[in-house]
Parts: sequence; C-alpha cells; structure tokens
Amino acid sequence: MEKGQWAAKFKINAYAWLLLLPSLIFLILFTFYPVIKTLIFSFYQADLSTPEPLFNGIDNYRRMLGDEVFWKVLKNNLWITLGTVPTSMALALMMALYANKLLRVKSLIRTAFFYPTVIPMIAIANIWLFIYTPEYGALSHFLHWFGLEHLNWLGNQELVTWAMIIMIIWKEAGYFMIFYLAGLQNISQELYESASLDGAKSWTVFSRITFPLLMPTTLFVMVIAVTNSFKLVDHLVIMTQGGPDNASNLLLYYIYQTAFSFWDQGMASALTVVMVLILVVIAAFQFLFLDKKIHYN
Amino acid sequence: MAEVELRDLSKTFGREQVVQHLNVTIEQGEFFVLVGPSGCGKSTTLRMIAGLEEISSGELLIDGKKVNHIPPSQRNISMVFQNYALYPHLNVKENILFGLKVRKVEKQEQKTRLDQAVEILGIYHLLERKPRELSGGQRQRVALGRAIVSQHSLCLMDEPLSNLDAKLRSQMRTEIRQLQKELGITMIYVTHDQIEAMTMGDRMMVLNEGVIQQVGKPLEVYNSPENLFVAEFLGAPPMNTLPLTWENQGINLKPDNKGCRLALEMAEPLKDGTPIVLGVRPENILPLQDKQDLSDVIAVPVTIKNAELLGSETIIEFSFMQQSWKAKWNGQLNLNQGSEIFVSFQREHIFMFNQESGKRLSVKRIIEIKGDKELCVS
Repeated sequence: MEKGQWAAKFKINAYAWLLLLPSLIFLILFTFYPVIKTLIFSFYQADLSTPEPLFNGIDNYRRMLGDEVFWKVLKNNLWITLGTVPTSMALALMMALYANKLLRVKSLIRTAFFYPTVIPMIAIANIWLFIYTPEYGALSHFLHWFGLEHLNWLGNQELVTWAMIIMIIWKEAGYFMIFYLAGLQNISQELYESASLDGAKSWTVFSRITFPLLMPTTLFVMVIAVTNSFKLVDHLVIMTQGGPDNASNLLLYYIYQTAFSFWDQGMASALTVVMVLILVVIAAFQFLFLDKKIHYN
Repeated sequence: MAEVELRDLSKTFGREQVVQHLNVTIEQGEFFVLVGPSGCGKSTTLRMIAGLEEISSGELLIDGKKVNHIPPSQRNISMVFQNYALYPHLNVKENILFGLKVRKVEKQEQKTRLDQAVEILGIYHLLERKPRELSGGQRQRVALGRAIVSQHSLCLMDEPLSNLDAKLRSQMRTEIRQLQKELGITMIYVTHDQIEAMTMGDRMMVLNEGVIQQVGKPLEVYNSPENLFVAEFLGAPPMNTLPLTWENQGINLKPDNKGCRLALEMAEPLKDGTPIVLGVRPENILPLQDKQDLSDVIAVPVTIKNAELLGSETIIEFSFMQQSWKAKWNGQLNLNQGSEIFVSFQREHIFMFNQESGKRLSVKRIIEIKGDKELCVS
C-alpha cells in the first residue's frame, strides 16, 4: 500500500474511532470490564471467610452442580419461561389483531392493553399481592361468591409458580402487543384486498398471509420474552422472597441472594456466567436456526 | 363475458361526496379507461366495482345482476393492484396459484392454467423466485399472471404501470392491451396518465371531483372535448387558453395593443358581453415562415420566451395577451430567446368555452378575420 493511501485510510479510520469513542468508553467501563471481571471471579473463592479472593479453579462450578437450590431455581425458571412466553405471545398477537381491526376506539383499547406495561414491577407486585392474599384478597372474595374454597396462592409450593406465571403474562402481553401492532401496520392493505377478491376465509388469511409475514416480529418478541423471563425478578422481593422453600425462586434472584445475602461473590459470579451462557445459547438458537425459516422483506 | 353497468353510483366519506351519480355502461370485451387527476374518485369507483369499498347509493350491475351487496369474491372479477399485491413470502408460482388454491380448484386444472399463463407471459424461469428477487416489470407480469389464471371475464386494474420506468411502461401498455384482446375479457383500467388513456382504451371516461366530464372514444374526446376541464386535461403540453368577452358576434384579440377581430358563427348564438375562453392546442399553432402564404390564416407576431428542443419536436413558449402559451412543432427549430416570429392558428381547430360553466361552445365557422396589416392576416 502506498504511503499517501495509507495516510488517507488512517484519517478516515481515526475519524470513525473518534466518533465511536464516547460509547466505547461506556461499553468498556460498564459492560466488557464487568463481564471479564465476573468471569475471572467465578474461578475464585470470594466469600466472607476469605478476605483476599483465593483461586480455586472450577470448584465453584462443581459446588453449583451439587447445589439442590441451583437446580430448583433453574427448573423454576424453565417453568416460568415455558408458562409465560408462548401464552403471552399468543395473547399479544390476539390483542394486536383485535386492536388493529378497530376503527374508532382503537387508541382506548390499545391503552387498556398496554397500561400494565408502564406500571413498575414493584407496584404490580403490590397489586397482585393484594389479589392473591388468602381470605382478604380479591381472588379469594371472587372464589367465595362461587362457593369455592380460598387457597393460599403464594404460600403453596404447587400454586406459587402458577400465580407468578399469570401475573407475568398480565404484565408482558401488552408490551409484546405493541410490536405486533407495528408489524401488522407494516403489512400492505393490498395483500388483504387481493385475498378478499380470491375469497380467502379469515383463517386462511391469517395462516397464509398475516402470520408468515409477522414472523420477523414473532422472532424478535420471542427473544425479548425469553430474556425477560430470566430478567423479571423484582416481584419476588415484594411477594415471596423466593419462598416457600425456594418454590418461586428464580436464577437471577438466587444470584442476588448468593451475592448480597450469603456474601459469596465467587459463587454468584459463577452463577452469573451460567445465566449469561444460557441466554447466549437461546439467542443464538433463535437467530441462527429460526431466522432461516423467516421471510424478511 | 361481462358487462358492467353503473346506475347513479355515488360514494360519500363522511360529508364529502367523492363520487357523484355515475351513469355508464361498460360493454362486454371492452377496454374501458377511467382517467382523471389524483383525487378525482377514479380509484374509489374501481374499488366500488371490486367490492372493496361500499356503495353509498346507486346500483352496480354485473351481467345485469345487481351486486351491491355481493362480496368481492363472488363477483367473478380479478384485480391488478398498483403495487402488485404479491405475497412477499411466497414464490412466483405460489403467488399465481394462491387464488386457485383458496378456491380449491383441482390440482390438474391448476397446472394447466399455470402453464398457459406462464406461456403467455414468458415467465417460466421466474417460477421459483420470491417477489423481492424480481424487477418491477417482472412483478407486473406475475400480477397479470394471477389475473389470467383466475379466468374471470372481468379484470380491474388500478394504475398498474405507475411504478415502472418510461420504456417499460410503453412496452407493458402494448402487452396489456394485447392480452385483453387475446383473452377477450372486459377490462376496467384506472390511470392518471393520459397517454395510457389515449392509447389503450376502446373508450374512456374522464372524471373530475367525482363527476363524469365526458365518456367516449379517445380521439373523440380529444378532438371534441365537452368542457374546458377535459380540453385542458388531455394533451401535452395542455391546451392554451385565453379569457375573452363576446362582442358583436365575435371576439377581439389585442396582442401588443393592436387590434384583430374574429367574427364567428356559433351553433347557438351568444349574448354580447358573455365571458368566454378561447382555446388552441399547441400543435394547432404553426410557425409562419413563408409570408407569401398568408391566405386563410390567423397570424400574430410573438416574442419567444423559451424553446425546449426535445429532439423529435420543439416546444416554444411565448406570451400572448398576458397569458403564457405554448406551441409544439415537429423537428428541431433553432430559435433564440427573445426573437420575434409570426405564428398562425389553424382556424378549424379553434375552441371556445363558456367561462362560467366551462361548457364547450360549438364554433360553426369563422366568418371573417379582420385586423391591422402584419398583425392579423386573413
């Protein structure tokens, strides 16, 4: 490469780096550095009994595999994901189809569907705490009218997961609906008109046109929904603290407990690494595998 | 075969009446063009025929049967949309066969019709491609393919060529016209492009603000426009106009403050003082080169404001009694801005309109042309 050319190229590149610099600094400080630090920490024993972190190889990971609570929160997380993602997505799609069809009260309905999303999770947890309270709670009252026994939703190991699933669906579906609404508005009206001239029934229109054309949105929403199901733990602080007997505990909350209740930094780091790996694998599967089956305009 | 009849067809959106009392019969096997400026109600009319838009009042008959409340799919029509309406996630073959699959046409029959359409349109090599891999012209062909396989006898097209470049557009004009003749179908074609209206249609209907201005064969409409709107809408550049007053059985032209008088015999006599509009098409204004040949013409001196040389023709712009007029001449005339020339108006091509109603006033003949020498010669 000639000298002048190299200088010109350097100039362009230097300019680009300069523009990237501010965000790069923040990324390094608050993302890359903590990630690497966490990874390193996960190979150390760092708890209250070791004032100086002590390298212990894969000991934290070995201990994790033998930890019953770890497997339990992982299982809980899986159930929360399976219980909330498909249902909230299906609901979101139905709500979007409905809201999109309306002409007059569109914004009213949209707001009604969307408002749970804008309420902070802590407030939602308080609302649902009231709903689920045995004897005094709204749900108990409701069941009482039908002559049904009240149940201790949050105190029962079997029921608590279901209670959480229902609440999360209630909060999340409206959020996903917004994406579907945007997706629906991107589909040309001509396609529907052409289909109506062909005499396509509404189910055919949905299954052959709307749904396939919404696939990019569906994938996007799915990634958000799955990651959210691992991220949403605020409600546990208010409602159950992971109880009874870790029946409602989730991975992220368990990491928090390990780090700030049990003060085991090394173990918490190892758990964090596992959680990040799980999310990376899920995202990679969705984008690399499912992406191929999706049409983009 | 399909015949379409519009009886007092109207459409209102809220308080606005966008289509007003249309009455027309489109005959079997006819290529019928709906033309007008944007917002004139032509697309709305087409969509009412298709059943995509509800009819506010009036009746729509297809083959003598009232279809106002019959859903689009049972009207036996095919439609080609402006943006082709191809399903982006399906390949060409699936796109063409979509309608037949929905109608549960037999597999063998589907194949026969597909083969026939593919043969006509020459798109065999595209069958497995997705719409995004096709050029504009190819997409257009696929959209036509969908209309062909449906084998409906009535086809509606909504500005199907507006997304194509000029060259392709002229090619597709011929192809669509040929296809319509070959298949013997009735075609209702919406466009804002007057070239399409002039060249493709058996008949055309000019619409403005939801009201029919004129229905007729293209040349009929061009040569005898019923009103000022039609006269100015058809033709490029549009017809030159000049507001005048009717005086003493004629009109006075006063270019450069000199006088020139045309005495005219009208089909229906006019009152003195009636405001009128004189209209002359650009191609009916000729350059006057040979001053010897001054018999029987209306000649006036003009100053050239601008000359556009288009290669095959030249468009001259000049000022005529404070109005900007244009003349269109064949060939390449090298005329400089500011130079003075004489132009003549072909006397058999002079149009007159009522200024208030816009209606054309029939000129029977020019009785006399009188004027200063060198200015207005008869």
